[in-house]
Amino acid sequence: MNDAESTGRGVDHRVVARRVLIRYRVMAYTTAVLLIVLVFVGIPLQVFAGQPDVVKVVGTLHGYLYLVYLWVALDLTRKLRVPLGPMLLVLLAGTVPFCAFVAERWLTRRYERSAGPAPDVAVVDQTGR
Amino acid sequence: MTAPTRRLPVDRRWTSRRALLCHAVLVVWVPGCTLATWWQVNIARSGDSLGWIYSVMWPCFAVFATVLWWNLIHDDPDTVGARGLRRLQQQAEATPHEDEAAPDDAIARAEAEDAELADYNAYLAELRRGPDSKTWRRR
Repeated sequence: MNDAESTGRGVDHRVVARRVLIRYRVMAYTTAVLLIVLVFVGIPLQVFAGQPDVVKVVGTLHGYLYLVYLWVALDLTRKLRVPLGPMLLVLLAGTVPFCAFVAERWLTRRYERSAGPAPDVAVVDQTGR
Repeated sequence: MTAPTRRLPVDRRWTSRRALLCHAVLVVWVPGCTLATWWQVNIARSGDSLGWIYSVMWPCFAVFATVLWWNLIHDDPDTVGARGLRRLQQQAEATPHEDEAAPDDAIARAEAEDAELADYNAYLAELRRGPDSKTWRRR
């Protein structure tokens, strides 16, 4: 939002740079896939086969990538002016299997609605907002 | 440009219902993270080195929550949430492209604010008009 002011081109609040959305989507898919691997492969291996290695690696990886997810999700939800409740759900979605996919779809739709097909989007992206 | 921001008076910003809720959550969350950190440090000290990794992660969660809390406290009530988004969209549609005006307007506006700049621009204009002009010292 500060970037909009610094470009000084009268960018309205609808326009959120596509890269804010893209990096959220990348992190949503990453954490979601890792969490599915963790819950549906790692934990059965640990519990039933006594092999904790997958849990150790994927668990820590998911833990730290979830921090990154939190950060980019906070950035996107605030720029899209998502109300507090849904924002918290989006943040928590990274910890429940499959929920990050739902959150990603929902936020992408919301992004498309808010950005619209306005030509401003392309202009803003080029100015490096 | 950007929507005019309306800040709540400081006392209401910190004591609105929503703010109090945020304080309450933070007051529970940060000590919770501290406990979790301590728990992981103990695990790590008792031999499972994986605990060290998690004992760094929990403070990060506490920091994140604090940043989120600060952001929420300082929200502009006119621009937050779905209603704020709608309002901003209406504003943007009502005042389309104000700064795609001719660049001359921008110069004129800047000159109006800065007499020195106006003088300098007049000087440049005189220079540009060429050597025939003998009046460039007298504005």
